[in-house]
Amino acid sequence: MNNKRPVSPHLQIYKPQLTSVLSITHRFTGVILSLFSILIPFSLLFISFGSDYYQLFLLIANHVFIKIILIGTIFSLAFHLSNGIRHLFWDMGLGLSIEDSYMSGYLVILTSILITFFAIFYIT
Amino acid sequence: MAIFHWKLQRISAILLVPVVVYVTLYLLNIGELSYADVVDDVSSFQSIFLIGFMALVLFTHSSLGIETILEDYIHDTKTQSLLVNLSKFFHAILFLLTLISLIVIKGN
Repeated sequence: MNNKRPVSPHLQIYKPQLTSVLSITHRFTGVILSLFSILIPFSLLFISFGSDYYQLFLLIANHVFIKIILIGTIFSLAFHLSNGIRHLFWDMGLGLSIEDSYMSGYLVILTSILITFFAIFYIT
Repeated sequence: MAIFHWKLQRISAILLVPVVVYVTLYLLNIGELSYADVVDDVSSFQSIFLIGFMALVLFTHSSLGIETILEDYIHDTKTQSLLVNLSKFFHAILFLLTLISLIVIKGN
């Protein structure tokens, strides 16, 4: 038996559709958020070092390049949060029909974009 | 075990919904706050307990998610278990670092 064969879902041969793309994006944004969760202990560490380090932290966070990364992270957060809520509804047996899952899928995209725009407006 | 993993992933997700909204709004506003304001906000006993507990929930959720992805895409069982354990170790370190930072801030 060939143990190295791809596991389901076979992304290489799977025709992209809204439901599968959102599912993969949920995983992808989850990994990004896991990586960025490092920022929580590190920002607290900066605060614990004193006022000067906190100002340095704010200075770094204010850099344009960092702001662009932060906006991407906020999109990941908004998407993972709203799609996660969609998953929780599915777990309760709600909205499982094809029609409903497409509608909730479009709602997730719209919500994530709106939250990201709100954050861009707020950050800049 | 798989059912426990599934339930823990859902419970942590539900707990994280209000936290994520609150923390994001707080961080978006952090430029308006002075150093003393921020220290004040994170150094009361209630906030140390709350931030500590939510960090535990967040890193548990993150660790379970990464574990699922590694189980799905890493075929070799030895490599898979090595990476899963490494991920758990790093998540535990991040949680401890959060607690230590909170205690140091409180002590200052």
